[in-house]
Amino acid sequence: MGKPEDALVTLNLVPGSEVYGEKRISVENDGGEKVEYRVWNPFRSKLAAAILGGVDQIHMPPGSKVLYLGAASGTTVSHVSDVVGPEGLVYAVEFSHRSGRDLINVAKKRTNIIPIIEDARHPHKYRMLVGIVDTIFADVAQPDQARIVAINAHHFLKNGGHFVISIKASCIDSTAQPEAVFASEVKKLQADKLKPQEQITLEPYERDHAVVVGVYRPPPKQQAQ
Amino acid sequence: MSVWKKTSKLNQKTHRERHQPEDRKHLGLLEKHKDYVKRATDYNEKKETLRLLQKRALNKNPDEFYYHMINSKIDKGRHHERETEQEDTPEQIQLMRTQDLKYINLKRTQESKKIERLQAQLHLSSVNHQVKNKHIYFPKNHEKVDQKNGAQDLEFLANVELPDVDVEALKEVSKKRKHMYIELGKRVKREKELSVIQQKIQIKKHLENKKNTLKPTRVKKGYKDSAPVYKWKYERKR
Repeated sequence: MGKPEDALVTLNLVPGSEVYGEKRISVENDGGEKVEYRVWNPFRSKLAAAILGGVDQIHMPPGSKVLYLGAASGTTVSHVSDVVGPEGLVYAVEFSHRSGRDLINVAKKRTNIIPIIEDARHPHKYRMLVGIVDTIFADVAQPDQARIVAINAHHFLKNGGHFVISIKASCIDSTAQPEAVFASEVKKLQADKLKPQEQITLEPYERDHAVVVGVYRPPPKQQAQ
Repeated sequence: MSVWKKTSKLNQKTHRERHQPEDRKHLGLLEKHKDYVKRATDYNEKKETLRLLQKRALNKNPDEFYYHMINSKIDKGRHHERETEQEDTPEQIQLMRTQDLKYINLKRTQESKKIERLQAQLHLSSVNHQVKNKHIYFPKNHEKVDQKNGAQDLEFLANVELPDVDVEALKEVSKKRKHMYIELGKRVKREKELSVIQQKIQIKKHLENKKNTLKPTRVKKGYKDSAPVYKWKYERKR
């Protein structure tokens, strides 16, 4: 009998193990093999909320390399590692030692996560660990978030690579209107060669949050056409 | 003749009220007419009240019964309320309130845990919610706003062939899911109500605190769905 769930799931990279007490769902596929999925809770993860909200692209196909800023305890990171698969890589940067400990425990089981306990404001401190990446995801909730993403993009993001930023309006300016905060953040990104492509707010999962997706230094267009 | 009186006083010199002479200083401040008027009205009011009470006492019917007589008595011509013993001491009342608060807290935590557990499997993806999110596309290099991608996805979904599914099972599952969503809604509402109760009890407890030397002022009235807001004066702690 089926279960009455209404959930977003990712294919579990390490079948039989969960990360933060989330539900696992085993299904038999056509070949009779068992595959396991993990439930990805949009009330806890901004990326999942953006996906369920209907964002067009998160630019993390299987096999891609992702730099994840603000990894916290590694709950969302574990799902990103599911998404990029065994061929891909996730560089997870977190400043706090306490949540860094949990992050390292997650990385022990998932070999495609590289945990980095360092301040994302100083990318030169971890430049020897991180190669060129395809996508940067940032969920740092700092007033100078745009700057942090920009300097990391200058260090590690390939030309034409993408960025996905979650913006919490109250963390940047708690007095201004959320829409105004999002607009000003987009302006800041544009000044740093980060071209926003789409923006989505995260209702009903989060209040006054937005996710902005864009491209870094897109290749110039052919003028002949 | 009062008109004549007024006109005769017209050219009179107005005497200003004098203050207490130096040699009579030991008698205190000299009473002015303004003060005298106040004192006189007060005296007359009291006299009138006493007269009225006396009249009522004389008119009283000694055979008349009032229910209030059960809880009061007249002793040597004086009226006394019968003293009832307080069931609980203030300390006991405080303790009970603390226990109430703890119980509400417990129930609220239980409720929020259950909500979390339900939300972990109900992601609102199949629900039409009233709160719509905003999706903006930024134009690339003076191009028109591109919204094709979403439409393409919808087209794909409309044309894709679905594998065989057990329709009966699907129906049953969707019924169960509906019930779970209803439960979630009820729990969210209950949690909200509990939080209001908790805040109200907490405020009451703070107000009755004996350490309040300055009385806090009420900033906002309490309602059914929100606790009142009080402001305490800042008291310096050593």
